Amino acid sequence: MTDFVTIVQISIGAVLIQNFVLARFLGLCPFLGVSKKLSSATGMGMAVLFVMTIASMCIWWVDHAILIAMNEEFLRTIVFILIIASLVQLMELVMQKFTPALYESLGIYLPLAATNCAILGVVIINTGANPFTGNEFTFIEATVNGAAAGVGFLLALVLMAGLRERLELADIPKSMEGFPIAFITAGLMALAFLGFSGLSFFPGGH
Amino acid sequence: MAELLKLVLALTVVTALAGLAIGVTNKNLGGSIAAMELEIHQSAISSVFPKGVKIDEIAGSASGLPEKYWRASANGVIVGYAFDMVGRGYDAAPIKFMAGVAPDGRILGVTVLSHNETPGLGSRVNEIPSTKYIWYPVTETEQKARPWFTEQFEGLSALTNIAIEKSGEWHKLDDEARDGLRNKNAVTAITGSTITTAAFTNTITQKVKGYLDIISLQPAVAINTDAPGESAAPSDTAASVNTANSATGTATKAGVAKKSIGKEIR
Amino acid sequence: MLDIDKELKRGIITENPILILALGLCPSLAVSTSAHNGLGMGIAVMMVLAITNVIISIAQGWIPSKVRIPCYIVIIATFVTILQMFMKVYTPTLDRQLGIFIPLIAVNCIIMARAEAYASKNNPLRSFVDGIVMGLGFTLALVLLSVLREFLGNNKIFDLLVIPGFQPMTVFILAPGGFFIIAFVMALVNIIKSKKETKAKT
Repeated sequence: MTDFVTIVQISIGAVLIQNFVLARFLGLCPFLGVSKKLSSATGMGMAVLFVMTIASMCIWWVDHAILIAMNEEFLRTIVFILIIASLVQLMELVMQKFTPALYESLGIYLPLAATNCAILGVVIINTGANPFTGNEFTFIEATVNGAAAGVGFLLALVLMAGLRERLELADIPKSMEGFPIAFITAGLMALAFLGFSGLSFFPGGH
Repeated sequence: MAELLKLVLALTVVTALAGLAIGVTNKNLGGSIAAMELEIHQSAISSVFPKGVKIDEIAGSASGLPEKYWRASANGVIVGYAFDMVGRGYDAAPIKFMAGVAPDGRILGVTVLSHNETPGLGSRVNEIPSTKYIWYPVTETEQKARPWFTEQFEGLSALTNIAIEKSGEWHKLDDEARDGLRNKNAVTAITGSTITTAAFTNTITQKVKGYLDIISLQPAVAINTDAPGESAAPSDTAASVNTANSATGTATKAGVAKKSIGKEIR
Repeated sequence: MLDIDKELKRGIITENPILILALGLCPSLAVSTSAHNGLGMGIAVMMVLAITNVIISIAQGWIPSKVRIPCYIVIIATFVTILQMFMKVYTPTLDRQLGIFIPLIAVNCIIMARAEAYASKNNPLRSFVDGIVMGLGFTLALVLLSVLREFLGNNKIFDLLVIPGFQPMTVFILAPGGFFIIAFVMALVNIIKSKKETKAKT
């Protein structure tokens, strides 16, 4: 069922039109907390992308094989949170052992990713209906949605960090320093991303 | 080792207690949640029909028909049908609504069952027009406690395309402008939520005509009437449902192919 | 001793979760499109915060510190799930309006932060009071944001019209408006704070 068009639609939908940070307001804490420097923003974004993709895959299986099969959907929130938390721990150990270089660059951001609401957000969205087909997410669609949401997060975070590095040099009114100017910047970015909603990707759109 | 055991034990106890707490709550409330949803659904069915009609549930076994739909009749005459509809809104979640149509395709009523649209934008499908001001809470006109967005569908034809006007919202228009919209078979969009609006118009025009075509191709199904003596038909719903099932055959398939209805509504 | 006045001032003003500590930003921007939603979300968070604070404060004695974070996560997620079930039965409309952000209370940084920073070090009563005042601060900040957004974006407050003939600006309901409003409210807080500091010096 999953065809190429759906995959492209999901990707562009999650990266640009319904960007997790700028349109859905998910994952704002790391978005503001880790966007002061470009290098750390890239690291955090990559870690989230990584966790999101793997979590989407694992949780799709758990959801279908255990929770839906046993009609225990009401346990979703707690099960998903536990899976994400343990997955992050596990990935930390595996990375440390087998890819120390990657661990060096992403390691400190992984625990932060565990409590990132964007990750729980994407797996909860994956339990709903796919806006492009109207049916439930298939395994591939859920994986693509997770990865695309991660790319969207990475994109927003890197753009934000680039802007904030330049803002450091700007002359800002004292009361606007810190969070307020960061929010204004995010708002302007969100305004720009609003333009993508003109892409008539959503069926029944304009 | 003892240390590890302690950690495992602590986690196990916490998780077990958590599972117990959720399980108990679900056992006590799960039924209420289901009952609540059923009640919302039932009241939605009667809300899309005129008052005082008799409503039968019908199992649509033919391909192209929903699993079940509802038929309203008054004094032995079919007044309309109600269908479960799923439109695709702006966000990931679908918009579920109930659409009631007369046999000639005129829309009798639309009621939203559930949606997950942006609060303050698409979520205004359920907005009841307010004329109250916060400063002086005086009602200017007698308020009908009905959402304006779904009310504007009443009387439009589901058989042709329903246009979307972005000129202004329906509840702010005068009667003349509303008549003008009716003549054009058009609804007004919720400001900033054209996609949500289109989810309704598209789903209705795509599905309803096909359903009505299939239903009209079926041999007339006996209608139960409330008046005793008048009813020659089987008096219980189950029997009339059976009649409806057996009547669907080759005629239905032709109707489906012509309308190319791809997916059945869940 | 418990000083209620002081506690209230701490939760609502000096350590306001949204405006000063900048915690729990996701729900505060996402659901602040109407005052009803903001109030509903605020009360939901306050309830979870108070209950989990008490439970964690009671349980702190026998939870080994190495596994305390997973235990806290489980406890928080449990009460969020239970809350969601209650909301489905008693406030189904609100539950549908807030949608995905109800389960996301479980990963709201405020709750984890209070559990770790306060409840795990204080007695149940103090933790309960902390949950209530912090929840109150969160609710008030959320209602303030949503009243501003609902007024500018829809010309309404709690679904009541405000100014006759005022043409609302839809952008304030949309995502960018949320960012702008919180930016200006925070800037205002900064101004008030710096005014107070200069006053204190003189």
